[in-house]
Amino acid sequence: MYKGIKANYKRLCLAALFLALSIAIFVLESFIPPIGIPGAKLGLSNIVTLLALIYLGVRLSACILFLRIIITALFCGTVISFVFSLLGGVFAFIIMSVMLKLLPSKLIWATSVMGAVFHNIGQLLAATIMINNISVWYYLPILTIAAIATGVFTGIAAQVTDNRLGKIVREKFC
Amino acid sequence: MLKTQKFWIAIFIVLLAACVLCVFLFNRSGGEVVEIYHKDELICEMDLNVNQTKTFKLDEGVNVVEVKDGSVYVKSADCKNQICVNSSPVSSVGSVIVCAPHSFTVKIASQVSEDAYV
Repeated sequence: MYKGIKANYKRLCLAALFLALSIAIFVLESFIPPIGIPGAKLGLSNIVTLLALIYLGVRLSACILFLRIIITALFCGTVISFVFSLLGGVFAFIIMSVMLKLLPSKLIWATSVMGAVFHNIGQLLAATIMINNISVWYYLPILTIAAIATGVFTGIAAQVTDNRLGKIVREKFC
Repeated sequence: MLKTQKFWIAIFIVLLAACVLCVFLFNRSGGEVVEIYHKDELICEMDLNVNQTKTFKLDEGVNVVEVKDGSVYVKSADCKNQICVNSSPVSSVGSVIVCAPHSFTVKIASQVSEDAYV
């Protein structure tokens, strides 16, 4: 087995489950048209990323995130959407993994909001690179508003899930 | 737990307020582009943030388009009904000014295509 990754079969099973769930949520969510601000999506698959970080640790969650981005971009995305998704996802992932280490388990929703905000920052960075124009950053305030709103929503979802299922998942899988 | 909870709620409310403030203060236009169409064909693009005046000499006639202080309007035209000239200046994405006799349309578009965001 590869060095460094805990090859515990239970964790791998949970990781695979999370990956499938993440892809399913993502595809379903792509059918909801962005209302209000252009490009403001609900970001529901972030719930899965967050839960994976809590129960499976950084390495497996990173694998789940990258695989989800690659698979969804391959099957229902463009090259441009792949770059945006990748940069946004990476930024969100980094900030969320850091915050989860620092915050108590009652504050998962705060991690989610920060994840959403940094996801948008990552996407704006991708946009700056793609169209070589700095003026996309004018969108930052309005996107941050949307990020806080959707982040609270996904954060509450993740928080409630952890409140109810956290004990069981930790017992059975980790 | 309650103290840190309140702390983070406070941080996000402050951030939200700051963003709302930013939006109302100086975000009327940013990265928006004025597209000039003649007979449904894009003939010119202008930056909405740069004050400029352009004259378009078409087969049907002449239209003068001016961009000033973040909005665009038709300064003058030699069409009969002058609807385009009498239209108020537009600045938001999606708005159009049309000069029907000249098949001339001024449209405001955003720079990033919408399907790019994932």
